[in-house]
Amino acid sequence: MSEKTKDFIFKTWIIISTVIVFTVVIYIFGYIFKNGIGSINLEFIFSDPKGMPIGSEGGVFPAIVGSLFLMLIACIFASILAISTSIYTVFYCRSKRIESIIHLIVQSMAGIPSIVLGLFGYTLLVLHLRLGRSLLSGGITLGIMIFPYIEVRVEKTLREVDKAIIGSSYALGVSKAHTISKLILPLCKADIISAITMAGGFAMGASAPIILTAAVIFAPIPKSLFAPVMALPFHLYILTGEGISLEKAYGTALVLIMILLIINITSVVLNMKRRDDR
Amino acid sequence: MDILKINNLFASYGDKEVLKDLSMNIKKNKITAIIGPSGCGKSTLLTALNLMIEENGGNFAGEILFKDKDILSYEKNDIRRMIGIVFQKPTPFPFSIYKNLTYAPIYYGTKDKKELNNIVKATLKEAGLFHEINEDLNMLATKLSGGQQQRLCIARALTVKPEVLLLDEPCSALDIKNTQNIEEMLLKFSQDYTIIIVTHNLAQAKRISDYTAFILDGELIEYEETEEMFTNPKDRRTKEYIEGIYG
Repeated sequence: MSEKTKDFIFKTWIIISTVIVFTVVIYIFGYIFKNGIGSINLEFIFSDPKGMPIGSEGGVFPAIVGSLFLMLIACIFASILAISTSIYTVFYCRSKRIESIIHLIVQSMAGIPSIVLGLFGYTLLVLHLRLGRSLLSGGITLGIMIFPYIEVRVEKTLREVDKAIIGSSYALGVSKAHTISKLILPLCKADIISAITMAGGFAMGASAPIILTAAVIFAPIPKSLFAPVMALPFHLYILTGEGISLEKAYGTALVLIMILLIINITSVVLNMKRRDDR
Repeated sequence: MDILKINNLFASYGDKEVLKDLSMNIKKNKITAIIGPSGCGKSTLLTALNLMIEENGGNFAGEILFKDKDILSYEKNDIRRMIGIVFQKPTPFPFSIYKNLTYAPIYYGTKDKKELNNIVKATLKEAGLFHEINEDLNMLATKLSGGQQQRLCIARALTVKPEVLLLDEPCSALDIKNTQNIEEMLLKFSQDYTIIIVTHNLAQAKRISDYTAFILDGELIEYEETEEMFTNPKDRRTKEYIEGIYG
């Protein structure tokens, strides 16, 4: 086969793959939009689920708020740990062995099935630590799930900071801790926030970790960290799984996907902004 | 008076020995130029003097005395404050000019806004930048031209009031005009600071330095008053280098 034909086949294959992916994504969005838009109105977004069985009428407001709260707690919990871990691996860890062990652990964490994480959260947080089925238990479980995603990206960002700039700070006699908090982290801010938002979106869409740890079929907007919550993906799961209302299920899915879209676009915009700055 | 005394200095990166048994004294408030071919250990010598060599993964043996006290007996950060360094490539922080110049003073505890403003103004004037930037202190430092960035880096090194200023080929990336600016500035500085400058440019060494040291393959070959070195080199190798035989 001539180089020219090979080149042509390769190019065609790449273009076809891209087209397939695009079509699938657009089809999913379009399908959910078409089926869900009918049930979406202000009342659906801003009222409690009603009816018997619950969810067959009314809206999803407590689930929207619950999901946002879960995401917030997961992000706070995961980002504190992830940022510290990456700072340690990049700037303090002197042993290559420890560094590769950390990487191995982080990668393994990313590979844990989310239902297993849910089971872990249920045993440790809900039962042993007696946090109950609550916003806090669910948030922490989701936090464990997104931790590796944030860690990997933050670590990459920290490594990309120009060594010469860091060296200039040390050369002024400025300590490592001050250099990290006043020079390096501010430089990486946009990218770190982008990583956290992206991971937050991932947490928000996950249902397996919260089935056992946080979500319930009906709860009002939580007043404390120890209250159980409603969440969009779980609500969707119940509406379909129990055959309550397919129409409302599509509505819920559309709301969820819209929120995720907003979150992901924010993340991408932040990431682009950071590239412009440099 | 000798502000720095280097005795039997060996320096290496891993297995690679870069400096071999180097001894020399640096005179206070004078400009000392260090010349030699690429890879001879000039920059390593500079980084050893303010312990930056450790950050680059190297180490040294032997003795370096700063004001007759071993530099290892000082706090590492104190040594780096008193012996400032400016690198070959300009490395402004990607912040505003103002923030570049207040970064270190704030770290050392200056909080008073007025005092910070004074430091910024004074160092910018010393570096001859104050009027060039039209007093626009909020301008992003990375938007400055290469020469201006390098002078900003020198100004930044001055914000912590060092006694010795190390410069590692500060003009190698700059055009003639900017090189001239920096040379004039360094000549003025020698009243207040001790300057050690590594340079590839023999004419530059001749123009600005009081003393010149020639290093070849990690060894100090000759160390003389600049005038003497360039008119009457004692070592054959110095003569050959000055005449342009080595790269």
